[in-house]
Amino acid sequence: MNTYNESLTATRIALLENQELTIATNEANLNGAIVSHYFAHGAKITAEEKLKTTLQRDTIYQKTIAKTVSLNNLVCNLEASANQEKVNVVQTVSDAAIAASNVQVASNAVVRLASDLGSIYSIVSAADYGSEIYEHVSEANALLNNTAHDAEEASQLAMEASILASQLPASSNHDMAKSIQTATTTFMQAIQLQLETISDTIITETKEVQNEQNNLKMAEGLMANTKITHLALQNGYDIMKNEMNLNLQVLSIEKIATDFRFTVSFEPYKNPFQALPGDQFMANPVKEYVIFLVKEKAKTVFSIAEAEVMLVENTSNCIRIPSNDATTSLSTTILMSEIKDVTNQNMVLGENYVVFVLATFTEAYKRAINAFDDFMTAPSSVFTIKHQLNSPLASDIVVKTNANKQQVLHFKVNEISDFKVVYRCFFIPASDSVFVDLVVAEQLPFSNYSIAEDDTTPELISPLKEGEVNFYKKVTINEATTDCFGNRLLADKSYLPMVLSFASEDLGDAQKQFTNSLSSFQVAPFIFNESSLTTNSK
Amino acid sequence: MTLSKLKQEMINELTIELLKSQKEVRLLEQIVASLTQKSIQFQNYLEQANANQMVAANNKSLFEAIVKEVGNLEFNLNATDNEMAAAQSKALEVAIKCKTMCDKLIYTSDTINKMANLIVRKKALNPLISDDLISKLTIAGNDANNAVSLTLIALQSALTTVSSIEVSAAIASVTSKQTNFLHEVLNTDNDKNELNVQKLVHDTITRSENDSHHLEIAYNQITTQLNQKTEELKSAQINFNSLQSGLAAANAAALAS
Repeated sequence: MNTYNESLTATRIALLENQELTIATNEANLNGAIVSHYFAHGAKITAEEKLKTTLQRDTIYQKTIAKTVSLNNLVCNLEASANQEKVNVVQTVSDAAIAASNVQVASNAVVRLASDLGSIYSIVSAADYGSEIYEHVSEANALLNNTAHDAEEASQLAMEASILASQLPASSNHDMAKSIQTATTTFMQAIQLQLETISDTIITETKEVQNEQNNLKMAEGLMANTKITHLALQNGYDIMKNEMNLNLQVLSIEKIATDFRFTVSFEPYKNPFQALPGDQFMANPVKEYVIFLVKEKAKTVFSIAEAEVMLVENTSNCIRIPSNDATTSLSTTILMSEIKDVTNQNMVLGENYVVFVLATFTEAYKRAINAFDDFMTAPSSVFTIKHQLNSPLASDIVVKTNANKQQVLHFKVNEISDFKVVYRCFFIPASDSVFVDLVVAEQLPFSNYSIAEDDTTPELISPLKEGEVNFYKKVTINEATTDCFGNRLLADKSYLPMVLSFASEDLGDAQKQFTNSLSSFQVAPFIFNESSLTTNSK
Repeated sequence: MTLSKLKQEMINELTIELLKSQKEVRLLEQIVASLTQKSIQFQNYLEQANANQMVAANNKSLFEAIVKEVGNLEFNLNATDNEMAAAQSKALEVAIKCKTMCDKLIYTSDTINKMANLIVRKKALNPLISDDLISKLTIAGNDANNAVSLTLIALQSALTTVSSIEVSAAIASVTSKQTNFLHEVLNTDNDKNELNVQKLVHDTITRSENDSHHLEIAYNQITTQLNQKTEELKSAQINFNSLQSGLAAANAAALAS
């Protein structure tokens, strides 16, 4: 081969290869940045939820202390009343005792007077001083005896009154009121202590939230920059392909019934110079284009020499396209079942391939440039044909409450019955604009998702597609279920139920024949109901 | 197929098995790591919930101490009210009796004075009326004066006592009402009770009990899952080790031949 062309070829190959490598590295960085961002978002939400829970506790304790303070006021008033009562009762006891004593003394005086009169009556009765005296004395005596009787009764009553007064609880009621006061103060202090602890916790947790918010901002920045770099590198790559590699592309990988097809497109090879008028051979230097399919791992060894040999042997392991007017793009759609690679092997799912395009020059062109080599592109970008797993439609995903009051995620998915698919279900906090793509979903730790089980009492019914089977699946939310970040589900918080269709590890090598798929964000959110969990029945 | 080719095939198969086993071990390691982290996290949650529960339980018992003391006082005040009423009514009886006694005594003393005057007048006309009688009459007169003074003092102190018990009973009634109100406020769990501390205390207990309960269930579930996966990992590691040995032996044998 012409050394100039050899150099150009080497440059072409190296350039594209390096760019592909750079893009691959950056893509790994981008995925890393996306995942880091996801975890940073998770850390922020965790911190916010912790703080929210603490604030809820704070509210309850604030209410409690406010009411307790009011209660304490009542108790203080009660103590004052009880104290007043104590003082009054002491006074009463004293008054009653004094009264009893005074009544006794008065009573004694009356009794003595009665006995005086009794003695006078005796004298008058024995002597005969006339009826007038006798009548007066008799009357006085009788009256006095009557009065003495009352006096004795009064003294008895006064003693009883004094006893009753002395039995009134003087200090015991006040002592009890003081006990109430002590108990109330103790309770109040306990609540106050809790409030102080909660206050401190709020300060700490608020700082944590701020920290995580900062971390998230940084992760966002990194992700954005890496994404911009990625797009720029892709642009650069596209320009390189366009300038150096006939803009060779493999596009539109599609499934057709049980087969797949893909489209190879490229620009025609042009004479670098304007053709002289009338010289149609120079305008279009190419006789025909030949497309070769090569496994990626063999792309560095497949050479133009090997391609030429295969042509000479009239291989059928290629696709031939006649040349055109050299001004419009060329493309061809190839069925997977109809093409073999350059080692004569059938195309397989999950395998990485590239295509090469060989442009065979016309004899006239070869003579004109005095070179007898044809042109072959550098390998195209790597492509792989895989089965795309199905996701349940957003409208086919619903969370309902069952007879046991548990919340259950139900969904229906159409899928080829032979595919071994595991459905990993997880819950995204709805209000936080969490970004989850397939990359993130595939990397969720085992604890943060639940594997769906068969639903024998399906909630959803939809029409069947041919060849596909409806799988009805469910996940029951229980005490150990967390959100996608591993946080406990919060009472009355809204979550989006997401389903990742994941090609099972049991497939082994065949796992690479499938592309996983994530359900849509446009799904109806559900509100987590804490009373759906087992209640402590005491 | 030649012997060496057979051996090579066997080595290839073993290598494939080994790689499969290695992948299985790695996946299980990730799962066990994830579950271990979850287990630790939930253990922390559980400790926190149990601590909250203890605080809530302590608050409840402190609150119940208040309720109990109020109950005791209420009981006592009921008794006090009854005792007050009895003392009040008795003191009134005393005062009334003293008044009666006083009125009768004054009347009687007047009668005695009238009687004494009569006898003294009669003695002037009738020397047979003894001097002894006259002196007794004088004594009686004095004693009557004395008795009246003392009875008036007794009446005064009886009425003072009535008033004093009236005051004590009134303030005791206030104390009773305050205690009754306190009792109601502490024991009534409805929306009308603005000072419904009981509800807050009970709600906190219920929440923390439920929380602990849920977390216990969760933790047990996670532990079971973790144990199961750890066993699977151990089996996978054993399998890997034995495949590794097998492959080494096969390679050694291949080299030897």
